[in-house]
Amino acid sequence: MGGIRDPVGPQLVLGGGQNQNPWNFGIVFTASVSPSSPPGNFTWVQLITNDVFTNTPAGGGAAIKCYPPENPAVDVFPGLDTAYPYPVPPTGTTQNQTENDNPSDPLDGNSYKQEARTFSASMYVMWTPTAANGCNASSCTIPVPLGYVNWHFAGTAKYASGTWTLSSGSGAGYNFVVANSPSSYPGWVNWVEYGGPLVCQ
Amino acid sequence: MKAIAVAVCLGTVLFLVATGKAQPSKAASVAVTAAHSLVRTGEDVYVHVTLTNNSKQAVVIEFRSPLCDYTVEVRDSAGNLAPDTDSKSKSDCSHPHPSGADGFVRLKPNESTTGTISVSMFSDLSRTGEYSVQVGWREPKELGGVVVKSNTVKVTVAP
Repeated sequence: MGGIRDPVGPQLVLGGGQNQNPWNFGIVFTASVSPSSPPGNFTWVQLITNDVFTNTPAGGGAAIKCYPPENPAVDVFPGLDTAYPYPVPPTGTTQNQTENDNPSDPLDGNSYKQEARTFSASMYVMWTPTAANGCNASSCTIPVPLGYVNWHFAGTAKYASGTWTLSSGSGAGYNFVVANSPSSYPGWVNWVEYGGPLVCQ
Repeated sequence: MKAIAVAVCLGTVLFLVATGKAQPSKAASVAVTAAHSLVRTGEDVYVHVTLTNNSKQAVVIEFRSPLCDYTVEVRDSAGNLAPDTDSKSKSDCSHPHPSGADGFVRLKPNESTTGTISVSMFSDLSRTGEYSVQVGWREPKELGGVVVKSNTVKVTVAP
């Protein structure tokens, strides 16, 4: 049994967030299949390929690099983002589904006067055919990769006079890469849980 | 051959997250089904979790990490709680942390959304046997903010 998170305070977020505009998503992924396709379901999996925070101390001095707790490990990337499968319930129908992501970073004005984040990831979509009637074992059907999209963003927030402001932000998503071999399955060497505070060096 | 299209849009903005005090409510419900009722030792156990908005207002739900978005209670056939995983034991849900996966789902009145979570993230299911799984989820503050419990499902872990 565990607790349930309750975020507080200002955050640097890709997208609008819940309190401002829930439809100003950071990034949206949409997948569709032909209505005549055999029955099945999409499964989404995201891999983190880079995630670095550059924070400037409030008291002055050089900026420091910070990472999710898993990052200092050797060969951390690509890392599974948070959970398998992607932990946000997809919206839409079986034949036409969407996912969204709005990575966030709580801002700490007591410690830093500027915080910046550089993030990149690959979102995979897979298709799991419906198992035969009466077959309930995990071996009955397996997900098949359809492809992935690489994407990234960067943002910087500055703290002055008790207020955080966004000083820069950019991002892009790239073309869908079609899976064409067994090696097209998403593979990761670590699990980026995002379950604890950043580690700064 | 399946046709697939992926559309992408991006935007950046800074916003403030506010908090509120939870009030009792039964405006939401949670139902679980086992993704597979039979799994082999060493495989992860998954359940499908369906959240339903039973209220008369639309709500926006944020999902970040299953370890903090849900509670999962796993008991063996003798009724003993399965031990927490290291990840569950170390997870800090009381302080905000940077997120990777961080998504929103909007539910109109009487709408549902279904996601899949790994029970093996929460509990050690390495021993063979039959387990019962129950999921808890805190409904949005607009609906009361109480933790709503699901039905219980059985999963067998076989050699």
